[in-house]
Amino acid sequence: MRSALPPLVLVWSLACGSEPAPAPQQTAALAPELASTYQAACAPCHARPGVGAPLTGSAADWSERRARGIDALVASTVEGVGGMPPLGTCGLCSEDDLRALVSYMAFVPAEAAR
Amino acid sequence: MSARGLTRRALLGGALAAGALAALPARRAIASSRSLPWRNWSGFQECRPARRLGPLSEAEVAALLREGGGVIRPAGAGHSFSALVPTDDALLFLDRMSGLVDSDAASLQAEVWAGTRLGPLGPALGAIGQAMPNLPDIDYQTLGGALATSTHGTGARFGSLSSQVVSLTLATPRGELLECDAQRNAEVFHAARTSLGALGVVTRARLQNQAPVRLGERTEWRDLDAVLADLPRERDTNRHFEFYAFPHASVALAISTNETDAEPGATVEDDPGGLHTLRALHRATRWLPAALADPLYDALIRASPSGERIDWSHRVLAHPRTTRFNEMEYTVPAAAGPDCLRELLAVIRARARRLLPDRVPPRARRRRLALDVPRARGGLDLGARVPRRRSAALLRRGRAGVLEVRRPPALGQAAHARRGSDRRALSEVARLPGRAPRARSRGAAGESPPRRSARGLTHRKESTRSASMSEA
Repeated sequence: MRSALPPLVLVWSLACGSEPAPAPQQTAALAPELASTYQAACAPCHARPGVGAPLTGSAADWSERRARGIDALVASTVEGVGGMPPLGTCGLCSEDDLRALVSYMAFVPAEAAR
Repeated sequence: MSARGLTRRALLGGALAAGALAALPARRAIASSRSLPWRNWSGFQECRPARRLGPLSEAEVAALLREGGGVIRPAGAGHSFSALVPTDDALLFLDRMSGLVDSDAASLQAEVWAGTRLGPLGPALGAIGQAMPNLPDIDYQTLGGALATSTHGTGARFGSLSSQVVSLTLATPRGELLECDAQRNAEVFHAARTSLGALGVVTRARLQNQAPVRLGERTEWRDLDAVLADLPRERDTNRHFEFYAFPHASVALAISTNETDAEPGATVEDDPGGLHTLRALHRATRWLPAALADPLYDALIRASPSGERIDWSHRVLAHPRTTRFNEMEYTVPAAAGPDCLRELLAVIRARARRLLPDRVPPRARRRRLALDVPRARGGLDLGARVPRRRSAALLRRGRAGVLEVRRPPALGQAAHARRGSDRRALSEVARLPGRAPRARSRGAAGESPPRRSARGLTHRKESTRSASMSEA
């Protein structure tokens, strides 16, 4: 089954276009197993500038989202939001896994993620 | 029974035997504070599995199947649009079995764990001097899931990803590990390369790769008629050729991809949000009379740039996507393709000037499911007048049947669900006044009954492959 959509090259900047790459920041460590999950399921969008997903560690991308609270962010991850599919393509992840991954990306202090 | 010489019939027999086993505790079940639903990429397939299994090794996969435990369905990254995965019992993920197993530089072959995502696989193969000859448009999938569903890309000389497999290991429903290739268990090998997960769990596959290659992907806007007239030549002279047509516009986006020695670079950037832009342009022009709207829309699309991207093949062939969609594919004889497309576009232009295939967010879709059919009917068939409340009641009654038929048998599950409820719902909708189209589910297994001609396909509101082309 081919997954097909055109590699559209339109440059009208209505959606996600010329977003500067933020400096990588890492404040929350991930367990080794979750680190590999992050690389496989999250990084393809959240570590790739220009895709439109909030970039890991980018305060500018996450500040408004963090204001909604970690529970709301986890709920969005479970349901899928915008271009992100349900569970962020990590079908194996538990709610605790998702909470840790979202916290890592959103730069939320660990104590606030609980 | 020895593993050697197992036939497909024996495997299926094993599946039935596995299903007869009583539920046993499954190892490596994922602990969770609460049960989470599983949904596919588009959100149109969903379930709430009782268990999620994440084995760490082939031995664990085999043990899980050997111990039974009811229905076990293998799941990848959830990028299939068909009802292959949903079950209330157990989902098995191979996410913890990813990466390269081994490789051979002389033959350019690499053995890869089935839980490996296609995205990271490209750089991993590049590091050992190999590359997959072809890739799909999206690389979020796991290798095992992509093989099971015959995921493919473009290019007349390429088969699907399954054609790149030279051997594989299959964990059978009996809990045996079966090594298969064109000589050993050949019948099982050929079936398991695209098994939809029905023969067991493919745990690893050896791929026939090639040396890394740079590709140049050139995109240009051309008249649709010219593209269709030149299609055979484009197909035969390019490594890859594809094009996208748009309703209400005479233009097509033509994409040709070929090998090159040029250094990586780009005169245009991939724009994963391009579909949002095209949708906005369409909406911005639809309020005008057709005589003005269509030429304006056409001109706006043509104003976007053409150009070329050059990079290693795994970076060129796969694209990031931020517009989720539900996709269906239809296969027609190549010679009939242009006429088929012309007919589809003509029907849309004539009968649905304001229609643009759209995606309804899953949460909203569930609330609005009952309203979707009359909304579509208003756009596609102005002759039908159906009270919303009546159609909503019909769909509510038919929904239970739809949920049954969207679940084909899985490992250890013998029979298909009955379709009686679905038929009742369809027959009730058929009695509605006017030229009402038949009701159907949003899931792939609940697709409309076959029509007698391609013309009938235009009644589908879902984002078909051709419709996804036309999402602009």
